[in-house]
Amino acid sequence: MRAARSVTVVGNGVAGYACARRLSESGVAVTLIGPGLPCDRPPLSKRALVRGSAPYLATADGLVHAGIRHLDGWAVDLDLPHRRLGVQCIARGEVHEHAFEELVWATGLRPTRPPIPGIGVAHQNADPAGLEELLPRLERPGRRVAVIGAGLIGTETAATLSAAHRVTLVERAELPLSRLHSAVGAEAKRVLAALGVEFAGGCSLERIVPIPGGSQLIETSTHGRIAAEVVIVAAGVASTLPPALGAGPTLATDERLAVEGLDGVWACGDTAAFPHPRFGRIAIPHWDNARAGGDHVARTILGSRAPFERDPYWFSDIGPLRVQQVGFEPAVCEWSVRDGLHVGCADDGRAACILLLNSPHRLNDARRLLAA
Amino acid sequence: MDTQLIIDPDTCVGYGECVAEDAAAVEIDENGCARALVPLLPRDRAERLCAACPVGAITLRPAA
Repeated sequence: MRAARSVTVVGNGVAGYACARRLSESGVAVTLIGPGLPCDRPPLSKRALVRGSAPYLATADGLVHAGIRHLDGWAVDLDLPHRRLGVQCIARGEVHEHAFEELVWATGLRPTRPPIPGIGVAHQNADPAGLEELLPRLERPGRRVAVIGAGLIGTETAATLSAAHRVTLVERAELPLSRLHSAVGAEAKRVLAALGVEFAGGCSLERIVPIPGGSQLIETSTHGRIAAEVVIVAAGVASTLPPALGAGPTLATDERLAVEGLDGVWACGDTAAFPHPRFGRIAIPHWDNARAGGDHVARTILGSRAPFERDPYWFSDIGPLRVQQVGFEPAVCEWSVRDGLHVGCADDGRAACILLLNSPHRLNDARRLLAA
Repeated sequence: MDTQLIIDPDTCVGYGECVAEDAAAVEIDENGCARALVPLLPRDRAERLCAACPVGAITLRPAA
């Protein structure tokens, strides 16, 4: 292993910052590229909405103190053969050339909007910039808020905002969290109702039109018209991988998170598709994997030979409902309830995924079951 | 050098990131709060746990 002289980390979310911090702590010169200060992600939909500020992971002074050089802007024009990229400066818009030695790509996923006329007025809270725009609209309590999309972020957002606002959660599927085990959706629906969130399931959106006074009217073919002063969209994500890295949904890495076919280029976070020893090549778009992957890349660059073998794990708070899942749901053939746990078994009969509803103290049991 | 984990029960929310990092060292108790399973840990393992906590509930104390 050659000694890393300098490392450039692209992406200032959970994965990128975890990587940059670990490297800087070990004395490696780190350049971190991304718009704005490093910022956390999942609390964007929970604590940040309550607190009214984005959950930054570091201050500008803190980065300087840690020895992390921050380039405030977007990485553009990645030139792998010449090992350089352009950084479009957020302040002045001009593009500076940046030469790199080791490169870590950690730009994650970005939120998208469904193709509905008028959707441009909707806010989104899945990234810091969107959240900063949204928060002033929520300062006064009692707003009529419509959240479009009942995935994890939309459902958490609706539940959180229900404490201070009148919230409608609009979803195409019949249940919230419809991609998960149906027990989650059923429980989430019950919790949302208890919180006073109106759940509009099986909803087909037609358009969003402005009405006098600054409100919006969401026109549907199934639920009539839904009026809202604030519209938040949380329906879909897209890859941020540039053409030079294939522009696909994910980036294939080896077991140490080195990008396949490229020398000195690493990937971590949402878009890194690594060879999991049991579940095959998977990418895990969750906080746990982002932090652990960023840390792992740093340790690998520092000389570790350990493979990245993280089991998928995520957690979510929907009001008072705590949901946690370990393992890989697509590998599940059949779910059953075993000793109070929802256990999904793969075709070989082994537990591949375990779901916990309001049972955080069973997490060690769940992990033991997954490893058995 | 061995290190003691100090877990602040008022800060811990029981997300279990520490369990994901090192299930042999910590568990989540009946109150949904992380609890050390061993009195002391090698410093590297302890530092990994500290870094894994999303809410900063874990601090380290060098063993006396």
